[in-house]
Amino acid sequence: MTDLQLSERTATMPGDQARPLKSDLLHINMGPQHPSTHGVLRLFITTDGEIVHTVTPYLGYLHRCAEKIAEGTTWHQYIVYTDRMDYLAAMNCNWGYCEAVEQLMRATGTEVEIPEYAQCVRVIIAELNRIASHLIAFGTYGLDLGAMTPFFYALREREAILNIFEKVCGARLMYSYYDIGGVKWDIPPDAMEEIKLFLKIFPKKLVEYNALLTENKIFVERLANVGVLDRETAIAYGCTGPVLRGSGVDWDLRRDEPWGIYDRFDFEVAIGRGQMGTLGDNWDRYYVRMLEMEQSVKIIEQAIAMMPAEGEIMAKMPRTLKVAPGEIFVRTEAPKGEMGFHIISDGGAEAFRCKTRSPAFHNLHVLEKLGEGQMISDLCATIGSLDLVLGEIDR
Amino acid sequence: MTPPESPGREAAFNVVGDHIGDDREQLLHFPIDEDLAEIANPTSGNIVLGRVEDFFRWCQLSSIWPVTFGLACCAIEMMSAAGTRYDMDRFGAGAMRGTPRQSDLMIVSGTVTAKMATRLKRLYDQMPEPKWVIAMGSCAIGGGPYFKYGYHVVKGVDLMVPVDVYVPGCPPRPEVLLDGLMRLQDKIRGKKGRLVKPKWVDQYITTIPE
Amino acid sequence: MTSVEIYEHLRERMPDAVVGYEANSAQPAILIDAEEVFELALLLRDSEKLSFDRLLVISGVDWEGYDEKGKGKHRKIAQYGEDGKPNDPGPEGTGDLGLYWYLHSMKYRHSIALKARIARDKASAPSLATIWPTAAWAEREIFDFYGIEFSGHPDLRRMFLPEDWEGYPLRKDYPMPARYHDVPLEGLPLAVRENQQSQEEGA
Repeated sequence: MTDLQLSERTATMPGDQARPLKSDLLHINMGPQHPSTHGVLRLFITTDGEIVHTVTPYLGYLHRCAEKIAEGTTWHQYIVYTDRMDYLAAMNCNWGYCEAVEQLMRATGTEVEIPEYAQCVRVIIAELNRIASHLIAFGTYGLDLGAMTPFFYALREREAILNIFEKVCGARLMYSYYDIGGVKWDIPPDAMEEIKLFLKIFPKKLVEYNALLTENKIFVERLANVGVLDRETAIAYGCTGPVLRGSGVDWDLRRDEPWGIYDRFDFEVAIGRGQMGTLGDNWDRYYVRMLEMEQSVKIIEQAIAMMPAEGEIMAKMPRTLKVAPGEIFVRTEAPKGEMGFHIISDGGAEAFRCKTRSPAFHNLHVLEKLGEGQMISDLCATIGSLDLVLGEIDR
Repeated sequence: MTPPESPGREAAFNVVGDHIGDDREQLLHFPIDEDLAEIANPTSGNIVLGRVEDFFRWCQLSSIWPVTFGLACCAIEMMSAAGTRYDMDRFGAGAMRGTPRQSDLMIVSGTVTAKMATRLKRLYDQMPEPKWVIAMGSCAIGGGPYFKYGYHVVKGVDLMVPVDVYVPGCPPRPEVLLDGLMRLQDKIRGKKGRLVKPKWVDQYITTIPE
Repeated sequence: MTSVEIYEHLRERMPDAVVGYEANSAQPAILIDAEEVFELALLLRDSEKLSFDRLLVISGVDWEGYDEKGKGKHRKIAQYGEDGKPNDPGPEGTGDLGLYWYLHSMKYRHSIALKARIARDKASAPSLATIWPTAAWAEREIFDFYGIEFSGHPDLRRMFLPEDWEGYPLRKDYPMPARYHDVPLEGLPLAVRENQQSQEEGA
């Protein structure tokens, strides 16, 4: 068979140029059920051997109609559904929604004054949940790459945090702890002791985790210079959170557009510096999360120091809340990025429209760009570095 | 009658047929090793008599291998149940397989959506018999919090596949999942599960509050 | 720049596109004409003084039944029916659909919200996917939920729901389905249904 006949036979994809000895593109479906723990994400990959040509995420396998439900449930009832969006950082999602409703109330004339004690409690609990979320990101990242030990270590610390949460609000995962106007329950004294004990032991554990993975030669070889996301692409694709900061952009909502009492804290914003490879590679995003855990410990210590000895946990709120008509879009810094709630009220007891701006949804979009030219195993590493939660992406 | 002197360990390997041709009476007195005699004693507990069915069921319930079917938040509690604090591996159920073709159990943890339902049915069909399904969490039992206005949510995985054990909770604690696993083991064993309040509860309840 | 200054700046350069200004003590919004949003977006991104390089969210709204008092209420969500058919969902909606964009500038640290209204029967708007790539997915989501078609979008198809789903769920007149092809969304468990079937066949 002549070369021309061979190439005519193998040029099967539309748009392919007939080149001699070109192999077919392989279509692989990393289907909605796969053994990594990111959830039901379907990636349709076309590869030339091991090198990926295109990555197309297919979403919606966990679409749970939260935005329609918001139009049928009262303002307080919807807090339960915000838990289930980013289920690893449920407290932060709760706070994002409650903050949005409170700011809408302030903007439309109702005075909402959250007590100082409740503000401090909110910060402590949210930062603890940030640590828990980053621990899962760290643990499952090792699991994706084949290292099982960091996963069990991370779960061990996370169980300590979940113990604290159980003492505070009774639940291990879906808390619905934040309420519009404050928090629902006080932190009991033994939970406070446990938090202080946790803050004492956790920095040493962080040293352990860094020794396990961060400078591990295999880990660095797999992550450095892979999945490089440059600054302009990150901003244009709407990436936020550690994905944006890993590319060197110095932007953190807690410092730059603070809400609650975040303007009173003194902490550093971790950004990627390209230490192990290129700026904006997988390792930078991973290391930003490790540094953020340290900074969260600092914030919690400061919050405990500035907390009044006792105080109210809730502002005075009517039983059936009715928010005056108006529209607002409020963002808060969740562990995955900037979580926003666009709320429209028509004066009734239920929201007219409540849309969630999910950080992981916009972070996932950049995978289409990052995946090109990588190998399939590098693609797994890149997905892990983006820290996706399908509950939030699909809502 | 005393048996002849036991020549030691070698005697344990005497085969009865070796002595064909010997005196018939002597056949009854072949030397037995003492350790073997201890083991072979029916009252020592080392010999178990039972039906083959029960034996197979015991094998099955002690090594239920689940397929990783974590859909949503309940998957995190399933991961915790497989973690070090609530070790699922001690029940034999820790080897989570990635493929349904090598597993016995499908723990449906999380909300089943219309888009995912066809895949779920396909994975269920790919599992070889005998297979069991645990519906974990209120979403898998009956739609969960999304039952009212969820246009894309299948209100309970039992609309698609037959379910053996329902584990309630949102999400259920890992201990509850382990309890569900033990109920499934009871079901496989063929005995009724613990339908009565366990006796140890009485130790902790001294007075029933008004 | 404050929102009022941005509004003035835009009104000077593109007076047809900017329709109004909605004052709100926390977050004022600029009302624009949906047809002109593409040129407006180019101006917002490339202008030296504005330099909005981040599009944070595009959100769709169905303004049907928006009653400021909250009495008369927005349309009740229809319930499921039997036999896979929804019970009477009520008349088709006649209200407008709406879009909402929120932009942010990293350089000047200012942000602005844009709002537009779109007629229900001619639900379309220009796509901003070539200006800010993040708009591609946000617009697919709005197409999925509201049926607003974005002209110039590179790949407009449904985002979350299956490709052959009928209807646009977040519209207020959407009747709840009870089946999706052969997946029952509610009803009796499989074992009970099979029992009933075998009883019927046996009887």
